[in-house]
Amino acid sequence: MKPRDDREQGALAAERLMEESYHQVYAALLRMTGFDAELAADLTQDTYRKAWQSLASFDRRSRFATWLYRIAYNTFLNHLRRPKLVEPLDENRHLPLDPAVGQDDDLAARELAQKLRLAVIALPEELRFTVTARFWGELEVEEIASLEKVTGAAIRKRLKVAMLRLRLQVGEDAQ
Amino acid sequence: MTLKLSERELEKLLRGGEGRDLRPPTGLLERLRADLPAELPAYSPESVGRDGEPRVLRPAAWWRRPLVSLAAALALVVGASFVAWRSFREVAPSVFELEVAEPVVATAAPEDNRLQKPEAAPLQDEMIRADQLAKSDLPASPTPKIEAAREKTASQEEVPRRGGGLIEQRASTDASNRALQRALPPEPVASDEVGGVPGGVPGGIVGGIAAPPPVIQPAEVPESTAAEPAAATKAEPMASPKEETKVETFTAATTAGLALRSSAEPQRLESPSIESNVTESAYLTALRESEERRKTGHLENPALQSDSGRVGRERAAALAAAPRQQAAGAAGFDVKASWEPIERALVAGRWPTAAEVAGARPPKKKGARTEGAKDSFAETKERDAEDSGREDSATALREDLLDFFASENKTPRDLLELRRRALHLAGSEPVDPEVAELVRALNFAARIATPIN
Repeated sequence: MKPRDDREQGALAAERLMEESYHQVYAALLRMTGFDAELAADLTQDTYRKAWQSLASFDRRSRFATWLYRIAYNTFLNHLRRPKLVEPLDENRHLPLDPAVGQDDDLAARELAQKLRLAVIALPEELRFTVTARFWGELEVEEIASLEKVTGAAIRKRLKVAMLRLRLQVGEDAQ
Repeated sequence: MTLKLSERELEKLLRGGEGRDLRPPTGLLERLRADLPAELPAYSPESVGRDGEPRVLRPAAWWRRPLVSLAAALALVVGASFVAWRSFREVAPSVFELEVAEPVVATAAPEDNRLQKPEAAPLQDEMIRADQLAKSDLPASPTPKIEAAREKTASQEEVPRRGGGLIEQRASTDASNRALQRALPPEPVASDEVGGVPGGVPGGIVGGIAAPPPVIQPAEVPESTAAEPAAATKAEPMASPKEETKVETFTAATTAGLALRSSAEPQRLESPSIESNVTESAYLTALRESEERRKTGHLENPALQSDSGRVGRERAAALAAAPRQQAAGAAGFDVKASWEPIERALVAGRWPTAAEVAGARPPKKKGARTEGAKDSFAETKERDAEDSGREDSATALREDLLDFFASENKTPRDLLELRRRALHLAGSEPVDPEVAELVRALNFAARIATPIN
């Protein structure tokens, strides 16, 4: 078999990287967008476009998936800052119904989840990235620390502060 | 305010609850594949990291590779050092030579013009050294002879060079011989070239030794030089620093101590370490005359003007050695008593009279020499050349010098020959005080022979 050239070899490797990582990227963006599957898919596509463009800047100090999550997070923030041409009629339309609970409880849960998402987005940048990376991107604390160039203890402290803030905010709203 | 949600419940809410479908929609992978660019940085899918994920093997830039970086840095350092070294050698060669140079005392050069104590003639040695370097026919490293001389005179002083820096003083007999040979151009020269060397002094020691010069009379100066000294110099300017060094060295080698120009030199004589048997007033008189000549603009070869310090050093060294003359006198030759008029006349800037010459001759030689008093010095010397080894004797040199003084046909060549012999005798260490006295006399004779308008 004739050995593949570099271009073909690179394309195959990129495809393999994408296949192994796009699930995680899509899931993180789905949570960020409040379970808007269509928007999450679009943002996933944008994320990979940016990743291929800036692949040369990947310094291998972290996992590829971790590096990719940072791109996805920035893509989502850019989406939030972008002026909306059409506002959705129902903010909670994308929230999936939980079949285990009743319809009223499900509605309350959806409202609570939406409030929580908005509270996370309203957090300061350091706390917001830490919380989203930990719970939406499902990154380990050390991976987040490497992305943020801080220690793991600092990330844990950030998480504790952020969780306290969220609990207070969501608890007030709940009252 | 109460916290209704526990931290665990909050984490569960943040993760989006359980049972939610987080799978990407169908067709997303195809969309992503379609967005794959045609050009991607090279990486290998076979390279798998410890965590099992494909690792991008973006080839690091060549300057980021450790070996390449190290080699490049090393090459830069070596290259910069080499360039700096070359630049340093080109810019300051004399300073570079100083790193390997160590001043050496005038010890054994027969024709060298070091007539005095080691500390007395650094400038002459510097000039000789410069000439040797310019000729490039000497090894750059010190010869064993020089090494021995260094060991012998470890306490000699280092004198700043006029252009800055120090020199290595070499005592090389061969080099001095070559310098003297070069100083004797064999061919006669055109009438407009002063003394055989363009820009030289007519009939003088400086630059004029080679050609058959006119007979020297104390107050006689060729008109050509008196009229156009600058033109003579301009006729053949120094073509290169090497030539300049040659001429300068030649000047120094042939006319050491000709001019007394430095007002600082008398201070050396005032040093308590110098015991003078020669009247200081005579020296000061000569110095005064020299100063007057300089003030009136009647100077000898400009190259001599910078050698003013050498005269004083020669003089000081000779004076320091003067007490030893008594020992020579005790050996049967009343040097001091008979020679003092000669020296006094020379210091005064005139040739000794016949009576003074006759008084300075040893009694046993007196009769023989007076017969040839009217002969030319060359004839007298030719007559005496049959005596083998005679040139090595200070007594013979003294007699020949007296013959020279008595001769009416004094030529610079004869004077140079006498000086060569004197230098040869003075080459040994320590300098014989009798020889030093002769050399001192020759210096003053050369000064007289140097045309001064």
